[in-house]
Amino acid sequence: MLKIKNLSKHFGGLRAIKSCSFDLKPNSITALIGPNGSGKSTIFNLISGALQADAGQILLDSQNITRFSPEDISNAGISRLFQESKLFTSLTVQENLLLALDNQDTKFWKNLFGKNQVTLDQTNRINYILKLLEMPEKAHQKASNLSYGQQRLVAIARAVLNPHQLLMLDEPLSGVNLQLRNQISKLLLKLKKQSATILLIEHDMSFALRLADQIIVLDAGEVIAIGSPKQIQSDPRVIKAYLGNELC
Amino acid sequence: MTFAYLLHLATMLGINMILALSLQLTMGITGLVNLGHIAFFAIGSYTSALLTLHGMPFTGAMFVSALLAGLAGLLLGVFTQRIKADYLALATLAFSYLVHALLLNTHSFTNGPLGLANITKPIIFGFQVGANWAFLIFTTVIAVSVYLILMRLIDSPLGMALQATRDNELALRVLGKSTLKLKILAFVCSGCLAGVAGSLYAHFVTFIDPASFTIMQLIPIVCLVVLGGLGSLNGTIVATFVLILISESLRFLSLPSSLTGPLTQMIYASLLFLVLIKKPQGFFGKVSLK
Repeated sequence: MLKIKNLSKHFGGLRAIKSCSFDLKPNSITALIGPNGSGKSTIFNLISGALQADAGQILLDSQNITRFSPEDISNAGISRLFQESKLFTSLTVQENLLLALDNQDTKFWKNLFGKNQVTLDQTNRINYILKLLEMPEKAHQKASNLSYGQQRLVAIARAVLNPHQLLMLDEPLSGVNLQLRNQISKLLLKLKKQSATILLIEHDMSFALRLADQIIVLDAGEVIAIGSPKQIQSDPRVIKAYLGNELC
Repeated sequence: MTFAYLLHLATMLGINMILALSLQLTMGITGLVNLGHIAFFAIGSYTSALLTLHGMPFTGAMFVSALLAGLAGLLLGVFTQRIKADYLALATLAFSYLVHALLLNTHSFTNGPLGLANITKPIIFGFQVGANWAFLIFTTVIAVSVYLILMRLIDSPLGMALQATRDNELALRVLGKSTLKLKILAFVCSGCLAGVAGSLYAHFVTFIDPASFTIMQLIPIVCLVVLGGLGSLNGTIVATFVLILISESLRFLSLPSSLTGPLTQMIYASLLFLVLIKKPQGFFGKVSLK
């Protein structure tokens, strides 16, 4: 489904990503793990178009999307959650989610003279996901008035509602309390049951190992291991990357 | 205080309100610090004045003024598409100076620093809007229409997308929305509405010159938007009433006329300074100036 071929990215003299290659299979969950600064978020930024690669290719269903803009990549079928929630803070929760639902709704004349009503289908989809995240009463609250954890939930809901073939989640569990972690876990397990294709960055190793079908390990911008959770747990290169030479 | 003065004051208030509301669309709603707005106003004024002086009916001239000012918005939007925040402010300010320089130096066309005099009062569908009360009614109708159009836009999905562009551009782009198109659209609409305000201004005061369209004339309009609150149309309206009335009240302090102008500018600048420090979201605003 998604093929990354020899992807590279420099920031000045720093080689952030060094000729990375990996494939994502459809209907599977892949976790991208690695120590801090290993280039996980940079890979996410390259795939979602927030950064442009210096070399290499990103193919989505054989379509080369390497030089696409973030909006074209989204319309090609990739939805993304950022490490920070990046909500539209002056809008309500419902408005944040509505913006994810429909790409044809910003035509000037239609908006000036059309009905501009939220359709029943849109309301149902928003209500469904808010109920799943146990926050249906927050629909009309301004996003800026939510707690950090609740903002995280809304950001995840927004990424899930954005039409996609591939869902990319950058640390969905970061900075949220135990109760919210359970809610997010519940949603991701539900998506797994529905055969969603997900690429995930997660520092909570037990969570990543429990959820993922495939693990890709990055270290210093390079892919050092790819395999099932079981294979990765016993891979000496991975242990070395996480624990260092001395402890190994 | 005569009735004629009150009519004049109310009409100028209406024109300033249209100008401030149109700036609110780019600056407050979409988050684009647009210091080129006075150029749209100038383009609207000169286009309308020149066309009517050459025999075109007012309604047609006003329409073309809006179109040309909107076209200027399109060009500004396209050329500044990759520029953000402070740099956008500088680029749009440069656009204001460019238009001002053109007005000053194209003598054969704009009469240079001497300006254009004897601009006719409008005739709309055979009805002469010559008297101040008739012009006030006409201006009020347009100001209310502009307010309703902008309210309608803000409450629509397009308005949501414009506000989302202001809140977090990258987050909106990864939802598949082209923020470039949205920003250009905001510049075009804002330009069109400022062009309408410019046309009204030219035909109300009947004399325009480049000195009426400098950055000094833009500062009070920026004050109306920032003090009223970014993103708040109602705030802009309240600020327009309050600030114009404060500055007009200086006329009754028996100060030398050479002092009144600078004092008004100082009041506006001080208020802007205070609000940016103490209440950066303005009095009714939704967001702070970035």
